[in-house]
Amino acid sequence: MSIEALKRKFTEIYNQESDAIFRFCLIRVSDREKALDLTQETFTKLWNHMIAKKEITNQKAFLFTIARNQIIDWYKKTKSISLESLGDEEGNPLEVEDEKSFKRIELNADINRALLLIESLSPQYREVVYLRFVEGFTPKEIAEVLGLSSNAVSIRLTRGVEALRKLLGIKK
Amino acid sequence: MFEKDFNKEIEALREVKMTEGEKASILRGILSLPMRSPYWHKSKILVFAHIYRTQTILAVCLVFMLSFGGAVYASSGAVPGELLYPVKVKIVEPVLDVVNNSQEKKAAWQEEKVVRRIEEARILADQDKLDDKKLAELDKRIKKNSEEFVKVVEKEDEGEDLKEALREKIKEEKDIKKEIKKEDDDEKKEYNKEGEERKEKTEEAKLKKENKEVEKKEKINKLKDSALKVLDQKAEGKKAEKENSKKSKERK
Repeated sequence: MSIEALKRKFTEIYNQESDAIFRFCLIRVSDREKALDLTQETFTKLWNHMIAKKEITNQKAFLFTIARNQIIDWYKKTKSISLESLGDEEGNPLEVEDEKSFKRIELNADINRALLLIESLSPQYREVVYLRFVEGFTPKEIAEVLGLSSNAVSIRLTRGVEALRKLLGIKK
Repeated sequence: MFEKDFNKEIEALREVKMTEGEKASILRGILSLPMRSPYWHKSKILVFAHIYRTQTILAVCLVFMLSFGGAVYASSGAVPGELLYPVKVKIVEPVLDVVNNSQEKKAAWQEEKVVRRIEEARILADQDKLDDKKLAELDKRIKKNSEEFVKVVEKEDEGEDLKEALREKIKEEKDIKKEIKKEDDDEKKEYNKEGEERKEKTEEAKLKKENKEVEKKEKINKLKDSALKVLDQKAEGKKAEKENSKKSKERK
């Protein structure tokens, strides 16, 4: 494939997936600038992969996997900084950014209740439910991103949906 | 009812997007990144070296050590006029100058260098290769080495003792040489007793040999003297300095 063809293909993938990746990053880091940086880094990695002519079976899953790893790296870095200033003046322990990130997201609406609901799920269901309902991933794709088996993802999804229903007050 | 709201809000969530400007600038940024030339081909050796990194590094170190280390080791026995002699005096010894960093080690090493020069002269003399040119070179070096030794030693309190030790060492070597010569002569005497006919021939040879020995000895002694001279010179210089300073103090 010539460079021009690669560029065209990359632009196509970028136009298709960039917003989803940006959204995924923004929800996790709740900082627009940082989310833009993470999006750029994620797509740069994809571009390097394409130039190196490495095979990518599922671009969507590949991109989310990279983005997820970048976010984890970013958390490790910020946590190592915040450890130096542990706790506030009253001696209360510092709240971990990760736990509250969903709530402080910059959305157009005042507060997105759906997001708050997903956030209130236990961590093992949160990502699965988000990817399934917001990004429309299949269980197989979720398994690829999270490095789990399809079965495990299906079980988590079922339990996550059940928990959501409970929160919404919907009986089976 | 609740479920409908939930779905609506999920839809709203999907509307969280980058602005067109942000999107375009990121794309532009990525596509303008420097790229590897399409004419660049991966060398098989480089790929191999990349995959077996640890082994390659070890192998390179080994080859380096064997080749360079061998040269360094071989150079330690080199004498003037040999191919490896410059390696010895211009690479290995300056490196050891730096490596021996404590005062004690430095003094011992500088002393070793002076002794080395004498040793080299002796080896050359035994091989009948000590011509004037090589002698001049060794003389120049031994002077330099002695000066370095004096410089290092003068910093220490026991400087004079160390100097004396080196003097003794140089002189001692002279004595050993004499003893060896004596033993040789004794053997020759016994040998000569065996037949009188041989005596004349051997006497001639002996004379020649003795002349040569004397010549060799003179050459080596010349070298030793120049080293001793440097040692004494500095000492005298220091004494004079001390006296001068004493005098000036007295005047005051």
